[in-house]
Amino acid sequence: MISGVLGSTDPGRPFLVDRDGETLHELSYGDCRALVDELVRSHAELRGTRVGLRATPDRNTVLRLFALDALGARVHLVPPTVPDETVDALVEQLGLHAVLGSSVEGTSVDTTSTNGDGRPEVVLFTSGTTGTPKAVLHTWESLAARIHRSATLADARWMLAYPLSAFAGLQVFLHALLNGGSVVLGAGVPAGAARAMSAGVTHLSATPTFLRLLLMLDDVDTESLAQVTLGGEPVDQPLLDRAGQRFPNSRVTHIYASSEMGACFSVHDGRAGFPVTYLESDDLAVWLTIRDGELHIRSAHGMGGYVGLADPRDDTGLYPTGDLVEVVDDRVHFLGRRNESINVGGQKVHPREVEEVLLAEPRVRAARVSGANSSVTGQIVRADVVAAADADEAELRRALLDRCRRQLQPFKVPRILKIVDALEQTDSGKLTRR
Amino acid sequence: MSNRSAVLAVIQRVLDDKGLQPDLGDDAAALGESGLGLDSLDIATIAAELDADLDIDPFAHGDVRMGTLGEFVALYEAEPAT
Repeated sequence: MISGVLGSTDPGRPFLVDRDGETLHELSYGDCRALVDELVRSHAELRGTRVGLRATPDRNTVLRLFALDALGARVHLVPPTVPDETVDALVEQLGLHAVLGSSVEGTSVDTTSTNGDGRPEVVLFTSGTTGTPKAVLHTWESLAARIHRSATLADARWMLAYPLSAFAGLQVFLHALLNGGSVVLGAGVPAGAARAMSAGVTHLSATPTFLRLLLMLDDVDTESLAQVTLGGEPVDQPLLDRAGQRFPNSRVTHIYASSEMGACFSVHDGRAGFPVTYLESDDLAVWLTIRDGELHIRSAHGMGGYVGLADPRDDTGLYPTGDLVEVVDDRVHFLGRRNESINVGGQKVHPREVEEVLLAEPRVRAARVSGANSSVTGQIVRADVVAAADADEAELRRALLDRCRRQLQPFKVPRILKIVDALEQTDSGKLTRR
Repeated sequence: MSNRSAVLAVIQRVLDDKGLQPDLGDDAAALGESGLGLDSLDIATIAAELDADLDIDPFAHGDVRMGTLGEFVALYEAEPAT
């Protein structure tokens, strides 16, 4: 689907923009099409296979996405920060024929690594409770289902502040592509984003954490900015207010979306939370309701399912989001997560996964991982560890952090690590979770 | 210990942990690869530690600007340690 759109868009229009120091590089739709054709020719052996792709935030990833679509492959978008050993496990588990953009080897081609009927598919990964991420199956059609198409977006220039392995990153990419607009790359960190802004960015889509950091910088050129869209974690009112003041010419909205259920709804009134009128409304493209204080969603455009895991939706397609909400007057507010998962700047961490890494260290007797509140990233990962009696504390701390850094993505590494005498336990002997 | 040295000590340790050894001059850009190389998680870590140590969290409210290391440190010098 996406390769077809690339081919049918006016070849003279700009598509990919990145920056090398002070120099801007632009690739037009026509340039990209020629490069993709070349990739398709040189990668004919990937036709109809299952392929991993390290989603580095550069033009190579974008060009490979088009090529793999044209080749009818199932592409697995691996976040750039996932350690190689996790990628090895995914290759084995999902039968990947190759992992592009990575030193990890694929399995040899056999019948198990083909992609069924050769329809292009896209697999995203979400954090699982164990070290191996959950694979979420989509098609380009399901990812593009909620993309707004409008002639007014033809000249929009989008900043790609998310990785292309994230649902939100693909939404930015598809918004630009399906409207004939352009994408500015190299904006994965706020300092890069501040530089990228001067390339005439009109649309910024980012997490509240990202925006908080961007707002700390003075030299951000916001002249051309028309739209700021926040998502991935709850938005607080002070941030919305500050964004409104700093970007007086922009509309600031926040959206609710997930890898599983896609883009669900957006809020344009500048207030945190969302209007109660969204609940059980037939006017929205998704159906929302609250059960036991938890937001539930039914969407016609959700994922196809998890690969190799049970579907979390009930018979009627209703999906428990895990987000606890509260209705106050005419507003629904987000309170936190039902399960223990920690939201670090829009990225979810399951405590169990981090605890397993800590407990693998022989000098650790017990470990509990929880979320600590952060004024910068919403939450950060905190670990309380009980050490063996003879352990040297300073040395153990270093060893544990080292171990975590090797085996976990940076946002999962404990930022507060305390060596404690004992952990609180419930009567049944389970660790207390807060 | 003054707030300034407490803040610099925490920043130094976070940078050490990342294997970075940039020059800690007041004019160094705090964020981004061209400066100290601190990212949002590093800022969150530093903020959490200093909130515990000094009981000051300049990020909790208001419009914070911190282009340079000097401005970062100044956020903590505006209020006396409690």
